[in-house]
Amino acid sequence: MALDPVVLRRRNLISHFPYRSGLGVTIDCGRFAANLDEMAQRLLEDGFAARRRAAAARGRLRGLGIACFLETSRGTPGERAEIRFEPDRRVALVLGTQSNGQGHETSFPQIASDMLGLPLATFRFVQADTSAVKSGNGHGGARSMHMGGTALYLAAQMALSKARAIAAHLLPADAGEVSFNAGRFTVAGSERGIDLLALADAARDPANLPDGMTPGLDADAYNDSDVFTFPNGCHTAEVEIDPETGAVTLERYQAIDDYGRLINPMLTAGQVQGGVAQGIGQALFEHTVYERQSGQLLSGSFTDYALPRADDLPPLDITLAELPTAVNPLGVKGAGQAGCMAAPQTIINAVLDALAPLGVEHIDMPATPERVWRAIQSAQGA
Amino acid sequence: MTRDHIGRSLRRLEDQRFLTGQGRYVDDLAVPGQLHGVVLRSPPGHAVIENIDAAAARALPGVHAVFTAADLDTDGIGPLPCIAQVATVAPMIVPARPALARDRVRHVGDPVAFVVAETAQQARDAAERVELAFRPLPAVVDAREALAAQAPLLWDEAPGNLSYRFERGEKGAVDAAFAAAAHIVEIELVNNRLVVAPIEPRAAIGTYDAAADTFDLLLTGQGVHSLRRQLAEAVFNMPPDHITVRAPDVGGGFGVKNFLYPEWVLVLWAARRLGRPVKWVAERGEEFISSAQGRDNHTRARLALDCDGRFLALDVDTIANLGAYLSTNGPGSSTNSPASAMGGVYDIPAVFMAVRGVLTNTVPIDAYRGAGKPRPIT
Repeated sequence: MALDPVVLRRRNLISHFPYRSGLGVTIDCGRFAANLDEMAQRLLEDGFAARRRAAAARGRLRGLGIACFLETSRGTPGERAEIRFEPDRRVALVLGTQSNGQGHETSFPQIASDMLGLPLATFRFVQADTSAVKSGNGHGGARSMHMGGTALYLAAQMALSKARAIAAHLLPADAGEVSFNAGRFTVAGSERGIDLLALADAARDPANLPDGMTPGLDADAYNDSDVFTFPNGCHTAEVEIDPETGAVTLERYQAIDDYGRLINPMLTAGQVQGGVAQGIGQALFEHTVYERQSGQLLSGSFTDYALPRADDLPPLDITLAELPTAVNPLGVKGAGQAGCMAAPQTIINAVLDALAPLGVEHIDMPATPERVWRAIQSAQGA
Repeated sequence: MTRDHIGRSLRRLEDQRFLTGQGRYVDDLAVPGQLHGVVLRSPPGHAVIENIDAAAARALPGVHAVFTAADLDTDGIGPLPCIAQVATVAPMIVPARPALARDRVRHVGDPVAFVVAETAQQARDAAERVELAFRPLPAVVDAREALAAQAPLLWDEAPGNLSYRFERGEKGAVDAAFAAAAHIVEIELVNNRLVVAPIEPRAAIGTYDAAADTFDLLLTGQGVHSLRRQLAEAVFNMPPDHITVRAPDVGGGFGVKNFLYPEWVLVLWAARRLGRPVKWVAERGEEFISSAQGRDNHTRARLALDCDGRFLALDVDTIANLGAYLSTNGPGSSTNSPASAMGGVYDIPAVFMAVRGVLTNTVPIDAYRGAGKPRPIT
């Protein structure tokens, strides 16, 4: 049975949600069919067949690979966030998650800024210190935004809820008459109002508070959820192979990915790019070799272990299509890992598509020039 | 709630300091009075340690100590734990992983001694003067070969080099679907081992306050609270609030900086023994043989289809290389993680997966960005 790769996948995609997998995982939502359909539409119009013919005229083999991926982002459940209003009118965001380059110092304040109506520069980001952060589960499994972001959301809600009660007490007004917008509490139909930071200062003095309320606006929230988020996407890769040397060049790479609601699209695209680059490394370059009898690591330095370099990568065409999830209040899906979960098979599918006319049916990663060359020789009966 | 920031591609606030040389990574930092440690690592991949002669090394200028496993044992320092929670068929076999190898080395790079001196150069010079005598043993690096009958045995407690079996799914339903299938496709896949290589190699400074009996660990790490818990409970047997763990700017982690490494134990323990802080910074070549590596498993997968090309069942059989020791979360990458995504975006009514976790004479494996998500079906 020979079915077109797109047709085969389309026929079998999950189309009804929630969907319980064969191993008991419930997927709440995903753009599986939409991602594939949009990619298939692009492929119809993008001229691959002509490029393949032109390559053949130059003695080269062009191949197109496609893959639809599902990433499951859970990470360790449970996360904590604190919001501390400091005497110098700055606000500390204290997170149990941890950035090691992903940009949390920007993305988390973006959330706090919108929720609290305060400028971005107000915030001080605190992480990665057991003496300053009471508890946390760090980073892993692309968990930081859906676990830590949600904890921050809960902390902001907690602070605002208390602030609203204090505002009603101070202004004064009935609770129902108080509005909060752009960092300020106002009373409907009057001039009375108070800025959030001024209110935070006032909240330090019990004399300003309703009887029995503990002083201070600081909030400490624990997100006790244990959820999966399901990033998903469709990737394609186009390669060109020189059959004389086995060298594979990656000519094009496209992605249509769903990471739910995006807090900072540039940072999300950056995560996808980095992940795809690492996936390209796994598919084509990175070969860890231990000598069989002695256990010596033969690929013990970058001279022998090939990381992809800038000129190994084509421009990565990444489209982010948001389908927010309901499993967390931000609607986010963990973007950190998906790129390297999708790229390897996309690229190997492209390599096999290029080599199919020569009778090659299988190749292991990394598809180094030597391996490609040997696969060709083998299939040709050399 | 305003919508001025969420959803906008704002430039990163932290880049100002990163791009103007104001980032502060462990190597940029110093604790007053700090000494420098160098880890002496096993040259052979599998061998009995016959002798460690550090006399010449200890006599060199600036050298404070050359520590070995015997010194750790004297102080009752516990082994590094594996904290992975995996429902295996029988209890997982977890060979003890001390911070310095005891009696035998089991991978190239296995830590053998910790040399501490006034300067890093003095420590390196001293490390070169330590005389190590080994009796080589045959090694095995491929997980499938390690399961074979005559393979070299790494650990007496793990016959056949097998640490665990893991199974999930409905074998009966899968077998029935295959029996009735119009088409069956089989594939053998190698998920190749990767050296992770964040741009910033691992580094740490350990400090001990004798008056308060507290440790401070400053490291390029990813999960400070979990590390604190492991150090307190498994290694040093002290209350967690006696240990502070902190990370300054970290130059990439990708998962591998999450784990409890021997070096984190060594800098703390040496600081306590010597009464001065101890700093350790990895060299790149050293990272190739000590930092956790990624993936490395071999899978046979079969897909059953009906006459219209609809998927009926997926059967996955994986042999996962764990390395010479079980790393902090080593088993998770081949078990819980792929199980969560098995089947992918496809509607497959019956799925079964089986995994065997195998010990070999290689650097330990642990979760690297994505950690073992399945490839067979995409």
